[in-house]
Formats: sequence, structure tokens, C-alpha cells
Amino acid sequence: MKVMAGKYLVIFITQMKNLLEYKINILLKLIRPFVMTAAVGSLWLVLFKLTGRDNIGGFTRQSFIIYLLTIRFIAVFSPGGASIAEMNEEIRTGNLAMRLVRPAHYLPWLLFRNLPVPFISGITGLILVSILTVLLGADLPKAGMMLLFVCSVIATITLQYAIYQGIGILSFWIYEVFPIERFYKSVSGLLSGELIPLTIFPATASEVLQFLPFASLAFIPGGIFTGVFTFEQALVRVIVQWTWAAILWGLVITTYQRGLEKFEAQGG
Amino acid sequence: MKFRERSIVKHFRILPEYVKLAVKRESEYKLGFYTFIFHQLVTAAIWLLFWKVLINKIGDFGSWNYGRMVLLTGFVTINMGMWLTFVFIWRLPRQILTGELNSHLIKPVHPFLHMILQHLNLRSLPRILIGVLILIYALSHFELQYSRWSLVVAGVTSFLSFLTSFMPFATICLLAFWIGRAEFIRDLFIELFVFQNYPLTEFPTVFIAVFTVVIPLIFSATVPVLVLTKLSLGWGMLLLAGLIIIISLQLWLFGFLWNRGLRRYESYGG
Repeated sequence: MKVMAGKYLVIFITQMKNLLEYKINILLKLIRPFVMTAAVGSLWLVLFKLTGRDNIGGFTRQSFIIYLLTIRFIAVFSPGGASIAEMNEEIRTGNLAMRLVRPAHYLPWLLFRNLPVPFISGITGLILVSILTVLLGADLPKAGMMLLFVCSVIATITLQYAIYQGIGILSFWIYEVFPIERFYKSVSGLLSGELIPLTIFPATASEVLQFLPFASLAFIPGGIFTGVFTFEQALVRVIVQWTWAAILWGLVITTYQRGLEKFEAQGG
Repeated sequence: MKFRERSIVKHFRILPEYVKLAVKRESEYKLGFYTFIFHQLVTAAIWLLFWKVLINKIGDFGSWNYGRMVLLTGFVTINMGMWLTFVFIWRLPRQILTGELNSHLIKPVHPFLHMILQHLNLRSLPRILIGVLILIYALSHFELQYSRWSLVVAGVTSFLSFLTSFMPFATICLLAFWIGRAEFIRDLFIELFVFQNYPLTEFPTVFIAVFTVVIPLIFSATVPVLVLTKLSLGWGMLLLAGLIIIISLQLWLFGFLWNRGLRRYESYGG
């Protein structure tokens, strides 16, 4: 077990060293979520101004900006996108066969290989968001809520990665999986609370959406950080997040095994 | 060799060949083609739902009611459809960096045109159709006042406006001639495209100025909607003239940097 863990850690460290060779890339990756937040946030600031409201869907101007930044940086944490491309390429070309003969399980190997970028940008980003929260005069979550927030972020990353791996694994059956990835991104943009917080939807829709896996990707962690939920509400939602993560990972592993049975190592 | 030295007719003659090639390419991957179209439908539906939810909750977005937002979504969908037809531009920095540009430089046509025409993305055409259908729906379903001429001017503005986002994007990609890895600046720049989806006239003046002159995304959808439903025909024509001037400047800047970049290009890759 120890040897196994060490093996993946070596992959992670090697990739981290490669990444640090291109420091400017990391800097630009860190700027990107701010640009994205500025783009989406400006619309909401205009809305606050036009309507003259102090509160839209349970968010003040200040908490809205913090919410948007938080969910952006959580999204940055996910190592998914790159792994889809890599998996698709290796299955299509048959190169997966070379990976399978190595003494490391393919799925964790892929995870640790793609982890350094989200690791650095995510951690740095969340520190920046915390500093910004304080500078904007908003309160950081109390210790208990902060703990739930951390659990929620880890659940989000786990769930997000399961979804991306699931899309990548479809390459065993489908030649092009990128349209599926884009479709997923569009749908999750709306249903996860990335474009519009779920509290702005009509009451019933909002309640239902909060318990779907999409909400776990943005609204739940963002809502916990900005104080939308009470402790009990947050706890329930974190449990829901982990339940979805467990279900989806179960599906991913089963589908991967099925895919390997079909794999012929000839490419296609 | 410069573009003006070559026959424009020659470029038009190769276009049908590349269209045939693109059709064959798409017919190879039917599932991908249909999934892509489905994704485009969903994207348009999501924006329509977004505005519906928002306007139901907080009322009109300044002077923009839901009918206008539907028009806005229609024009953005057309614009992005046209943009995606030439989406290969996305790979220009890589082509420059790796020396792959060579394969276009040795052809007896303009290398830039050859590059984007060779990789036409026909999957985007249904998106243009979806945009047109959204416009028809908005004009027939909501009580929007418009004249036949304003529809023509708005249509021409919308058609040309894709160049106002495409050319700055292409120009940014040219930076790869000088800085090598321009992908990160390109990726940052593309994030700004979300502003096309917004009614920019309601934004602060500084935003309006930037998105009119520097990155003229205001012409993608906001201006066509205004020309169609609010402004007089005279204003519409004036804005169209302004758009043509901006595009001319963008084309000149692109041509200038392209020629300068080619002088630096060593086809060595990196």
C-alpha cells in the first residue's frame, strides 16, 4: 500500500517539477478565474444597480462577488479537462495498452499526472479568495462551517473528476467524446449555480436542483462559504455531495472495467 | 507573396473543394456531428432559460425585456455559429510554434486563408440556423416593432459583426510569432466573449467604450437588436458604417502583423 502511494506521489512530484519550469503559465492560469469572475460579476453588479436591490436570491453585492470567485477557483481545482483529452487519445490510438502493462493503475495514474496545475492554482486561488473576502469586509466562515466547506470542496473535486473520467471512458465506445464534454459543461453551467445561483430559480425548482449532483459542483461549496446555509443545511448538503460522489465513482469503475473488456489495443 | 498579388477568384475556386472535404470529414463521424448540434441547441436553450429565470425574478434588465433578450440570444447564436465555422484559428499559435505553418506557406494561395478554409467546421452551420429560428420566434411571438429595412440593416450588421470578434482573436494568435506560447493570452481573451451575451448598453460607459472600440463585441448582438427594435434606420446605417470602418482597421492591423510575423518565422518550431 505504502509502495503504491509512493509511486503515485512520484508521478505527482515529477509533473509538479515540469510545471514549475513554466512559471508564467501558472501565473496566467491564476489570472484566468479572475477574468472569468470579472466578466460574469459585472453583469450582476449592473443588475444590482439597475434594480436598486441590496439582495438578490439571498446574496448581497459583496457576497455575490465572493461566491463567484469561490466557485471559479473550485472549478480550477478540477483536473478533469486535460484527463479527458489524454484518455480519449490513448484509447483511440491504442496507446492505453502501454499504460496497462505498467505497475500502476491507469485511473489514479492519470489523476496524479494531471493534479499539479489544479493543485497549485486551486490552493493559491482559495487563499486569494479568503484574503479578498476579508478585504471586502465580509466574514470568513466560522471553524465548523470552514470544516464543512473544506469537506464540500473535496467532494466537489471528487465528483467533478468522476464525471470527467466517466466522459473520458466513453472513448471505449465513442470516437469523439468532446461534444459530450461541452454538452455537460453547458448544462452544468446553468444547473450547478455557476451562471445563476440556484436560489434565484423558482422555489420548487431551486429545492430540487440543490439535491442533484450538479449543485455539488458549484452552488453547495459556494453557498457554504458565503453563508447561504445554516450549519444543519450545509451538513445535509455535504452528505448529499459525498453520496453522489460515491455513486458516480462506482459507475466510473464499473464502466472502466467494461471498457477494458472491449478494448482491443489496435486503436480506432 | 502578398495577397493582393494573387487572384481573388482563385481563392473562391478552392472554396467548394474544401467544403466538399469538410462534408466528407463530418460524414465520417456522424455521432460526433449530431452530439455537437444537440449541444448547440442546449446552449441556446440555456441562455434563453437564464434570461427567463432572471427577468421573472427581478424584472426587466433596464430597457431590455425578455423579447429583446430572446433576440439578443438569437444574434449571439448566429455570431458564434459563424465564428465556429473558422474555429481552426484556435490552433494558429500551435501552427506557428511547431512549424506546422509551413504546409500552408508552400501552397499557391494565401496561407492564412488556406489554413482556415482547409479546416472549415461545418458543424457550426446548424448553430447559425438555430440562431435564425430564435430570431423568427422572437419577432413573431413578442410584440417587437421593426421595419423591413431595419431587419435588413440588422442582418447585415450581424453577418459582418463576427469579424469584429474573429479578427482581434486572430491578431492575438499572431503573437505566437514573437512570444511563442500565446495560448494563454488567447485563452484569457476568449473569456471576454461572454460579454456578447449581455445587453451592453446597460453597462457603465467605460464598458460600452471598450466593447465598441477596443474589442467591438457590442456589434455581435447588442447593436443588431437595437437597430432592429429601437433605433431609427439612419442610426442603423451610421452604426453599420462604423462597423465597416472598424473591420477595415482590424483587417489592416492583422495583415500588417501577419506580414511582420512571417518575416520572423523560421519554420523551426520550438
